[in-house]
Amino acid sequence: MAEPNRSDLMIAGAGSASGGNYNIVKISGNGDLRGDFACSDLIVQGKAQIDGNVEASSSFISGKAEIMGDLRSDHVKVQGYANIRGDVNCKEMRIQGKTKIKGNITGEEIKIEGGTAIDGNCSAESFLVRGNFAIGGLLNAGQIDIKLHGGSRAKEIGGEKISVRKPGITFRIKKFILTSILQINIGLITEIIEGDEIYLEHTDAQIVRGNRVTVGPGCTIERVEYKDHFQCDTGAKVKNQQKL
Amino acid sequence: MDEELISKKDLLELTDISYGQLYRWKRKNLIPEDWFVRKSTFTGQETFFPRNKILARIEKIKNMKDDLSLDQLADMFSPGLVSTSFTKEELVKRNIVINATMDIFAEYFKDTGSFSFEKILYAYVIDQLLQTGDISLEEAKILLQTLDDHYPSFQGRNCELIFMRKLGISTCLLSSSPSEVFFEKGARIVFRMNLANSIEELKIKISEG
Repeated sequence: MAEPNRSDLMIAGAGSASGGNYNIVKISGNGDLRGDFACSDLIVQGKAQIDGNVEASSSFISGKAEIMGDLRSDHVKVQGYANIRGDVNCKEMRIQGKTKIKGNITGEEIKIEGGTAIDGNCSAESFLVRGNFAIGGLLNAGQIDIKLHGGSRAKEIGGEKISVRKPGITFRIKKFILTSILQINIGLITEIIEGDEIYLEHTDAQIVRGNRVTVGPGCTIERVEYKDHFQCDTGAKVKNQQKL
Repeated sequence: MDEELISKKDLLELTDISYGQLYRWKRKNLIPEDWFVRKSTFTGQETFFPRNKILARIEKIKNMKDDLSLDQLADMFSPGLVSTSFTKEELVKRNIVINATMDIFAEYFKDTGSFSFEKILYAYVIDQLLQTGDISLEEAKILLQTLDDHYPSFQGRNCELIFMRKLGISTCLLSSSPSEVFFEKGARIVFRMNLANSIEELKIKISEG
């Protein structure tokens, strides 16, 4: 995307700019950007308010960014706070800060290490979580690997390999305190999980369907439908099970 | 439009595919989002599909997935247009259109060079309709005009071609799909045609060579 005649846009203090084609867009102060942007690199270290769609080959947000439109970027990294009102379309996305997405997110590899809220659907080849997330629609990924660090939600989950685990002993203590005393659930809550190979821990679901299903400790599941193999931990509650 | 539906569970059993495959194909846009119909049943929410469409689609995917990558398949099923062009002679030789259609077509688009995919699509649609006898040669010209004037404004979105007659007068319209259209009693709908299907067929024809 690098074109020689594109210029850089740098905002170091407070400033505003209008949309267009740029090489590098770097905001380390407070920037108010209006219109659609196409650039090679978007770097937000301060606070940026972007009033349009953004197309960038790579974007790095370590401050605070608010994008009113869609974000299309091959590589996205969020270490601060990002609020995207439209859809996100990326190859690789890494979230270490806090991110809110109003639309859908499509990518190849999505890695979440902070807190993420997605109102729409999430689809990726691989979806890795070491934190917590909330997805309003369907989470659809080839490989779903979730290590729970807090309460997470998704309306539906579908994919090939799905694994939900707790990270360590501290989680049990945290879960015990929060669920029994404060009555806050910190596991994963979902309506339906469908996949080929499913391993679950601390998951609350209505229906789990798959070829090979393993239900680990701390799960509450209304109904399991499986094809080849089903295994249930003694610390799990499964009301109904059926082999298809 | 009341179509026969099939539940996800029955579909997987009938076609012998797994949940993982279904979700992968959905991710790759091989199965369009609007085929996923959600309905509440006694076991909670279930997903249903339009039976005939989904069975035909899965059959096609299974047949072709050995020869083509999933991305190539996705291109084939998407209503988007590909960038190919053929000359008049090639179109006839490849059995995409017959000679009679080609004459009207060449007359409408004055230049006789090569035709873009979009133009080939118009020719293909009209050719099919002429062969089934649904429209006359005169009417083919109206259709061609309508497609040429308005199809580009859909910008790759799915649309439907509706052709009707009343008291011997014929007319046609293009509408975005899915949408509902109601007609007066005296009008006779000759056909409603989903252009996405034609694009799919045409892409297969072109790739077969």
